[in-house]
Amino acid sequence: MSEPILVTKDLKKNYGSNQAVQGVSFSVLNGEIFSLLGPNGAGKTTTISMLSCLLQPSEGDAEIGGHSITKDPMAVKRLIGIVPQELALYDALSATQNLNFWGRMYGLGGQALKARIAEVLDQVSLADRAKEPVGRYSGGMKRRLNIAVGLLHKPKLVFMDEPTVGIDPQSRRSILDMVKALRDEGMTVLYTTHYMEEAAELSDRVGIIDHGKLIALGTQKELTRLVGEQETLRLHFGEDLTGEMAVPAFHTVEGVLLATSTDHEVVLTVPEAAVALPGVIAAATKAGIRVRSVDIEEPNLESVFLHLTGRALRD
Amino acid sequence: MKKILNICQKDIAVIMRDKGAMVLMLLAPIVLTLAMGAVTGSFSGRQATAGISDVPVMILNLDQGSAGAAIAAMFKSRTDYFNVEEVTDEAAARKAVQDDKVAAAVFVPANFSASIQAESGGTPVEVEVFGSSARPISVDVVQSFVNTIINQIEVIPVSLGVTANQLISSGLITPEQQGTYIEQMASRLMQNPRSSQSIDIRDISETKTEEGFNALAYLAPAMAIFFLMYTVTQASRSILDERDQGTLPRMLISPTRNTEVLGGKVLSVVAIAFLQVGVLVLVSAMLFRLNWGNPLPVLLLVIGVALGASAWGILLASFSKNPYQVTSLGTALMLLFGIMGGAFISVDSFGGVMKLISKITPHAWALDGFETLALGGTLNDIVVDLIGLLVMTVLLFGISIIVSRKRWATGFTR
Repeated sequence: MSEPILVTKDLKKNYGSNQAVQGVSFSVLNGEIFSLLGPNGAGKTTTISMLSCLLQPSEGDAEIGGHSITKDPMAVKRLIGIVPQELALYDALSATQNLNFWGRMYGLGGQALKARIAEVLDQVSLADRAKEPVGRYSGGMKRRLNIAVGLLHKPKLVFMDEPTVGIDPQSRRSILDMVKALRDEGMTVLYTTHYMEEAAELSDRVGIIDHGKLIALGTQKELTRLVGEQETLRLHFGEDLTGEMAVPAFHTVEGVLLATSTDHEVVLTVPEAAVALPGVIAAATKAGIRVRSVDIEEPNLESVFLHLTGRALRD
Repeated sequence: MKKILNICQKDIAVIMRDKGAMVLMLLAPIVLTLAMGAVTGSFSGRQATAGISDVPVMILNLDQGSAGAAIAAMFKSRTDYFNVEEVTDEAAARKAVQDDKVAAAVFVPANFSASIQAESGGTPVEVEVFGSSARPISVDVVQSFVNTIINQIEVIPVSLGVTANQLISSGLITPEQQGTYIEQMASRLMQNPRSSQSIDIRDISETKTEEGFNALAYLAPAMAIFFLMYTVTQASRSILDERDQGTLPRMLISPTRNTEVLGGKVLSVVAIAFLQVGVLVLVSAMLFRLNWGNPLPVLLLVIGVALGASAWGILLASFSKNPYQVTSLGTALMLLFGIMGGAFISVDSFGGVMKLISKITPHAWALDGFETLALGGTLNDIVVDLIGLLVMTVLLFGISIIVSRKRWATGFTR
């Protein structure tokens, strides 16, 4: 990893009075996987859309490979690849026909395009289904083809906007392995997701984005240090008790720094789980709350987000 | 240019894989042409009811002067096209038309000659052509023939007036003799149809057989153009479909200019329209042995109608918020234009205002051109139709871009 391939400078995007992206500044180094982690509606896709020159920023700029997205978008477009959140494919055409079309849109052609199509189809394990109409593919296969299109012209920087949304665990696994393989081959990836586990597994660095603002940026170690040495106690209840009903019982427990709830869980942030646990169980017993199970979690990106925003990553 | 063609090629490939679209684009017009051809007897050999050879016409001449006699004489002189019966009973003539015993009845009113020769400011009287709705082609020809005769007759007093002035200037007649001179000469000219410019009803030069003009030569292009509006609607809708599906943004993110992306989409619409009409022309020529006319003007007319219809489709897409709106509006337009533009009833049957309004449709221009070419017309004869279609294209496309400027500038992303 060396010089930055992408530098954003105070990028903003307004839709009337709605500030979808508010002054986002970060850089992505050559050869790294950089994740933008944030809940739905945080501004991840809007940021990607500006960086890929699809949307004009309201203010600010970014440089990719030394070219400005506002002043020299054509040069930027030649350097980047995109794997959009939507499956941007033609269902009526086969994988080969899709790749042929998209390859030509990037100026590829002839034997070189043919060879490259064969290469990416192998890369995404679709070579044996290449001649079938894409409409007959499973969701996972379509996602892989979607990725193949983004890689066809060997971009210097590829944007992957939530590429695993709505697919089965096996296909997701395959895609995550593919992303890591891309980094190993020297490609730079800007990856957006609202899944903490994906960001944790893939990323060299993570930017946490919420309500259009970049609220934290760094390696996972640097980010988890933000929450100190805190750990998380996750209490699970039965169907008869919601987290919201139970959480008041734990606000006053000694050692509990923060108590939040989701569905049938209460999530407690504590300095040390082993020390706080007896008091928590006692409080539960006193309130007549039947705790089915308890998980002890070390600091992670989820807890970082919780610490910074007071909300869970997936509300 | 390569990317524009790439987009066009892809769109054609996509639409050809849409079985439903193929049925409506190709099969439906052929089937409807067949059905309407059968209804009008175009396959039955009863060409007298379908075409313009041996067209049965009744003429009721109430005029006391030579103009009415000239009309009757001119009809009778064209035994190659008309089977004429002079009658005296108007009610019986109208009944004969309503019972489809004759294609049309021509009623020359009293004082017709006088109204032509009267000073300007007099009340004109009109020759009425009362036609059978079951024989639109025949009625069309009768009406055209009557119009042509009247145009020539009306010119006679004017040209004789000019001649008379010259004779007066030369001293060959006196100003007092001018009125008598014009009346006698006009009477003589009107009584002798051969002395006036002959009226040229063009025949189909290559297929002039006992069959004469084939009504399918009107029906086939009518159905092709009727369904063309469906095609351009679907093709234009794809701009918004691709916006919603993400493929249009993906194209815009590639190193391709907005103008190339949208140029490709527009070219797709025109190309698909051209292919549809072109295929229908070829198929009908083979299946129904239709002679559409001289190939070059036919080709130009096919291009013209593809452009004109596509411009309407692009306009729809420019104003619609989503693909479903394009489809709804396009379907309504398809039906409305089909009726207004002459796909079912010839526009010549319309009154003046409706005939004018029909010009907003590509149908009216194209069908006029195709009919002319099938009757043996040349490129010169359809220049007006081609210009009409071209003006329509430029105007509508210009409106699309100007009114939806932001949409076009942002590649339909907003």
